[in-house]
Amino acid sequence: MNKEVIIEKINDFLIDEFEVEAEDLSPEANLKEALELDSLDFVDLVVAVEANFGVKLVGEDFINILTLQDFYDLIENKLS
Amino acid sequence: MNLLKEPITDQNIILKLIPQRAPIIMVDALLYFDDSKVISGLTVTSDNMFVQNGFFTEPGLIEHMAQTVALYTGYHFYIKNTPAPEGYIGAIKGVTIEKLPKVNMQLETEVEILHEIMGVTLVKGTTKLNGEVIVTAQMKTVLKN
Repeated sequence: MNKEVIIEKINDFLIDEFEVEAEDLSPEANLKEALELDSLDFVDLVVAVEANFGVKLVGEDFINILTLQDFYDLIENKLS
Repeated sequence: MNLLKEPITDQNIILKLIPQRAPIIMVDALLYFDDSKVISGLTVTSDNMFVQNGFFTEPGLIEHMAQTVALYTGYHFYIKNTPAPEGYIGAIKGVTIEKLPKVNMQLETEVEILHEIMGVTLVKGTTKLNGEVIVTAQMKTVLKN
């Protein structure tokens, strides 16, 4: 799966399931603040990633994740 | 595989597994425990604060399911000889309640741990009454701190 497809799938479920506005989905957007994802949303994020990519994330995976770009990179690394 | 040698019904031990205290204790037995599943029990007594007109009401059923999750977490801590952590219900969805149990009936609730991350536990719960499913729900519980 190439990076463009990964980004598209992530953006799709952020819009559809997390009610994030499409215009807020810039790579430098802060996941917690700009996208307003709270701690309860993160477990849904894990579920969505598992459903869309077959990858199971754990808490440690999020330690250095601040921006949406970090999140794209995390999923890409998990899939590689 | 059940990691309990036998069901835990001693109320002194149950109190060590959950942070709740009377009158809000909505589990009285730990029947099954493994890494991804827990089964609790509760006999509905007439003095239960959620009993109205002889029936165990909806908030009690939800609290019973939440305390089943607390049992799961608490047992993890108990075997490490650490006090049960406090927590709260963060979100609940997909609740269906088919029937309210009457006083003296015994509930059995199975909770499947779907995900645990950053102190949030996502579970799917099913409560049965004499083998009949009466409640299903998905719940997020959050550990304090």
